[in-house]
Amino acid sequence: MIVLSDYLIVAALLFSLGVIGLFLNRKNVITILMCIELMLLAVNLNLVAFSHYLNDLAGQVFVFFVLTVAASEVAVGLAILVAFYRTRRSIEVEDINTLQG
Amino acid sequence: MANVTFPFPFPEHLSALLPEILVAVLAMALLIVDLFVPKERKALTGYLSLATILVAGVALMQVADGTSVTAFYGFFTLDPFAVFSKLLILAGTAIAIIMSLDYIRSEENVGEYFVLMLFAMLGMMLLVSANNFVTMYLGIELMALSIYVLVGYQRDTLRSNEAALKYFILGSLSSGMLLYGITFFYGVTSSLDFKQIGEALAAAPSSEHTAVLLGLVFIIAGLAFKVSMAPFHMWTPDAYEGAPTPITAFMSAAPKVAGFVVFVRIVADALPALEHETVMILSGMAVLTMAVGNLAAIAQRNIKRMLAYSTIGHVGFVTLGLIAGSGSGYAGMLVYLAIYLFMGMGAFAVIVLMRREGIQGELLDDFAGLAKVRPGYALAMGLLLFSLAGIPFLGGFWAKYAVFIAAVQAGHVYLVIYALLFSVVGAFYYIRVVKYMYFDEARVPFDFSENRLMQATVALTAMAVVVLGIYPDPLMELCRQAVIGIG
Amino acid sequence: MLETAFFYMFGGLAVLAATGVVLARNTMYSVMWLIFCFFNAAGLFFMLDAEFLGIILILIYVGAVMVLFIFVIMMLEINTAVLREGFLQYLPTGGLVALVLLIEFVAASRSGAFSQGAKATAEHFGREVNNTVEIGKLLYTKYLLGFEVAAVILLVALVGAIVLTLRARKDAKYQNISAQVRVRKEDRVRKVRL
Repeated sequence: MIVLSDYLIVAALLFSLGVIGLFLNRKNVITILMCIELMLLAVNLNLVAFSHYLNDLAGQVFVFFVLTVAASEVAVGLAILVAFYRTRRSIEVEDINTLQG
Repeated sequence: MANVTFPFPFPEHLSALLPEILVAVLAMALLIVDLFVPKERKALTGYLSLATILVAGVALMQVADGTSVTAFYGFFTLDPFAVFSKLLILAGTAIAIIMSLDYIRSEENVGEYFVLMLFAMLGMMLLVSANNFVTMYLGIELMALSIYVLVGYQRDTLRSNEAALKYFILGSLSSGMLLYGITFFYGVTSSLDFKQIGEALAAAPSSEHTAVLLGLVFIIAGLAFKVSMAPFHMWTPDAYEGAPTPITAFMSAAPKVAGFVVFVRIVADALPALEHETVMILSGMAVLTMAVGNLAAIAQRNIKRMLAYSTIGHVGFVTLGLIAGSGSGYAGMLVYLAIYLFMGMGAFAVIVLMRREGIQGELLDDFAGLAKVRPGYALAMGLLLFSLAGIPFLGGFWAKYAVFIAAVQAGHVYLVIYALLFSVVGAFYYIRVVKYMYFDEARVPFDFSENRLMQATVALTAMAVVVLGIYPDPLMELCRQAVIGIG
Repeated sequence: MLETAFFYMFGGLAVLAATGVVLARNTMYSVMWLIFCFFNAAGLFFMLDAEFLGIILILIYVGAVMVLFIFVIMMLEINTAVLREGFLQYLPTGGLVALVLLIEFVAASRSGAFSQGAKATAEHFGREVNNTVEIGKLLYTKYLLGFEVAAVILLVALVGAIVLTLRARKDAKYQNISAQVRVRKEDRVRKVRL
């Protein structure tokens, strides 16, 4: 029998994998963006699972908004990355050290 | 499932959204009008966006009647608290646009710059009216997405690109954390409305305590990020230094107002059952924030970076009001945010004025000897800095006074003593800039271009600081009126 | 029984794919893993009676967002070797942080009502209900404000992305059609008497 907490644990695993990915791929901005997508996927899975088990559609509507915003975020993020690449000729984050100190 | 019957009623109290609707429609119209504005006259778009803000302000005063109204099927609140903070947001955006008129002239796509500022403002206006997580999330993201782009607007400058990239990555990370926290609150309470969540949390069984705590920590962390509280402040200095200076000024004031207002709503409406835990977490963060902000500022040679850390320090002081809770704490926060808006933005406006041929005007050395060449600028900057330091009888003193008194009344005496200690530390680096201006010899040439509008802005903010310093009672009374009914 | 099997398949593959996203050497492989992960997550959404969101996840996420990722990866010249530097160096810290978080998340996810009792074991109640219609009813009525704001957010993303990347190329040559049409014989042809 699959219960609510089983879905929540899958979401927890996805979120944690997103977090560890942020640490491991510190230099690769594109992978970092993908890890953030993973975290948002975990959020969506949580919301859909709660929505189902609480018999309340508000969670699913909220997922709809999260998906919309996440898509916009990706568009802006990749645009920023492209602009960065044009001046820097690389996409490494740790190169970003003009601003240190 | 969805309990919706048709025909569905028309949204009630739609007029409460009049300012937001006007801003959205006019901003979109401006996007089209801008296409027909010739490239060398783009300042016109700036003036038109100022007019938009004016229209929104007038509309806001028309719809505000001192009562609390819930509009749009309960997804939007207009109460005196929201009205007051919206006025602050409008003022902050207007000042930032005035600062931008000249600054941004050399960039490409100038028209969209002003439109994006209007959209960021729209996001903040929604945010301060949010009474549930849906409106709050969408408001935060509308504000944040616009600001990410604005930070990276000087797209041929590496510094600006880097700042935008860092701000973007950490910003979307914080949104993810905030959302993950929200899901647990939703799971426990099956509601997204602050007030309903508050009631459900009070009744929640202890078996769900772990989930509630996790949600609490993640929501506070996500919000703390937006208002740059330590330990979630790392993006602030980089983003502030790399962004175009008017945007830095904008970011240091208006989003902080919006962020703290929604913080207050969540703490007051959704978390009363968790008051003990909330106060504990916030106290720890306030202690850290005040220390990080004020100590790191001392080491900075770049004045934009220094003011970034100073903003963090001030955020720590504002948090005291949040911890104090109740009417006087929230009123103190509003007083602080209002006064900070003027003194912070005024100081950044002076930095914009310091930009001259080949010099960014951002280093401490660029200010050396300013008093001999431009006594007016030096006097204004001096007043603003003294006010930021909290020297008595300038505006900044009363801002601190308001939150400290509230915190003492709520019994957080040790926190206030600690805060006093760090305001003394903070005074050091503000006064150091004054020393540079008045007692050092000039190291770089001064050949300023005149900009009447900017000079007027600086003079106005400096005067506001002095007037509020001598006569703070009306503002304090206004803030007290604004928070009636909160918490 | 069948439900349990499908849950473990979709859930397990989603977690596996997510691990692939994090560990893949080549950024392009990461994208592929992420697409796979979205498909499996969509499967979980279907099992939770959220057909509309499952479809949306595939259409919008795989069909648009991930394609955008692939587009950017192909457009930029990325040196994978440099990007992997420090990968192992951060493994202890990152692993520790993630592990602590995971334990907390699992504790929260398993807490009380989520693993037993009425809240945890809902029947599939949506059999006779069209999920898309229900969401539509809510979205265009109660949640209208959010819907409108989401539209503004998309507009901002559109404007922002264009502003940051569009450049007026100074070396590009354009055909001016109206000038071509309006050209007269006298402008182009000159009679010369030799």
